[in-house]
Amino acid sequence: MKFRFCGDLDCPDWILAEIATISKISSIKAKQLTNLVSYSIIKNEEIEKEKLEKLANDSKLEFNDIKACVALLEFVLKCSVKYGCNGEILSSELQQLGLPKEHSTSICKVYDDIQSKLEVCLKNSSLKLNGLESITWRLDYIFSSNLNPKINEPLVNVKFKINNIQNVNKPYDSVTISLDSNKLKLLIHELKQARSLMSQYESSIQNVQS
Amino acid sequence: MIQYDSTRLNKLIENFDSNCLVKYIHELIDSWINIGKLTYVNYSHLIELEDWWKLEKEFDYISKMFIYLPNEQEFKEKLQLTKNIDVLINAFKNRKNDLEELIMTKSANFSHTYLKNFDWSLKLVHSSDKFSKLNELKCSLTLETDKLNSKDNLTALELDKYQLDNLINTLETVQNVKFNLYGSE
Repeated sequence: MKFRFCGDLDCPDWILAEIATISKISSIKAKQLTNLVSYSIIKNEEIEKEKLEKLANDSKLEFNDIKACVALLEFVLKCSVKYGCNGEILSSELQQLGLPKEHSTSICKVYDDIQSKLEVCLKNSSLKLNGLESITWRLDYIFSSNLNPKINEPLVNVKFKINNIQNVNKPYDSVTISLDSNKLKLLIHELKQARSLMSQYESSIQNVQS
Repeated sequence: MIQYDSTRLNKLIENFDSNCLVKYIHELIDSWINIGKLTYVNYSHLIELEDWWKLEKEFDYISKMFIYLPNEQEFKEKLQLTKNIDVLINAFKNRKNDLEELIMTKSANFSHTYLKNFDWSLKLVHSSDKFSKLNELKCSLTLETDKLNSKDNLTALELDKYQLDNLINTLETVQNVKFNLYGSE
């Protein structure tokens, strides 16, 4: 059977197994756990062990079972956001997988509230190559040099702080370039051209999507 | 640095007709800005090898003089060439931008960070392992500096629309500061 929240693919077997585990806790506890998992994804932080232990005790489950429920919810939430599945479809598909209606309704209520935040989070955590972190600059004025006593030209120094994905120990790289006024004009002109093309393509993409 | 001697230059280019001189000047400037090569073999019938090296030094000097002296008449008087003086001046005039940039590059490029060239391209990031329909446009910007014998002379940046706007705004701010201060435009 194919599921929208799995990208129109089969649901992994381990999900089927853990649906039975999460069904053992109350729908209120399932909602609490979904909230915790959602915010741990958004904040990119692990859930506090104490909170999970408390949930396990309250639900009379083993700690490992609660950890399995966390993995299940993380998979469900991430996949649903990834494949743009809405709460209604998700609720129906979770019920098809054997999750009680109350549980799926409470999970999907949290999902509906937080879907847009999760979307932003997953988009931002997608692989980025050489992303620009910050720019600093300094403007010099060259009066003369041994090559020409009357240069009288401004010289711009721009320092780019760039994400370095190739070296974990050095997450940022700094690159400095210097350019004269003509190069600066040319660079601005070209970048504006790129920006205007970007806007054009962006509206075409939005038209196609709508 | 050599001292300019018109007699010496006249002697060095005595066998050059106007066409050969123009060709030589363009090839020489091309070789200076790394877009072409100047080969002795093509001129061996006009000049001895020893003089060939001297000629390049002479032209190095007079090209700087050409940029430095704003008055053409003054330049002509300094050159004191017996023939082809207008041909030489015309060739220099045609390459004035290249010569100015060359001097600027050499003056500004102490730390080999001078921007030599740049390229950009737009691409659509369609999907990722995290999100199936990203559909984000990115601008790839490659900056080429003049680092010699180094593989690090290329810097690639990937900019989304906000980062690109930020970069354009920053560069425009710099441009405006410059114009306010020096009234270049």
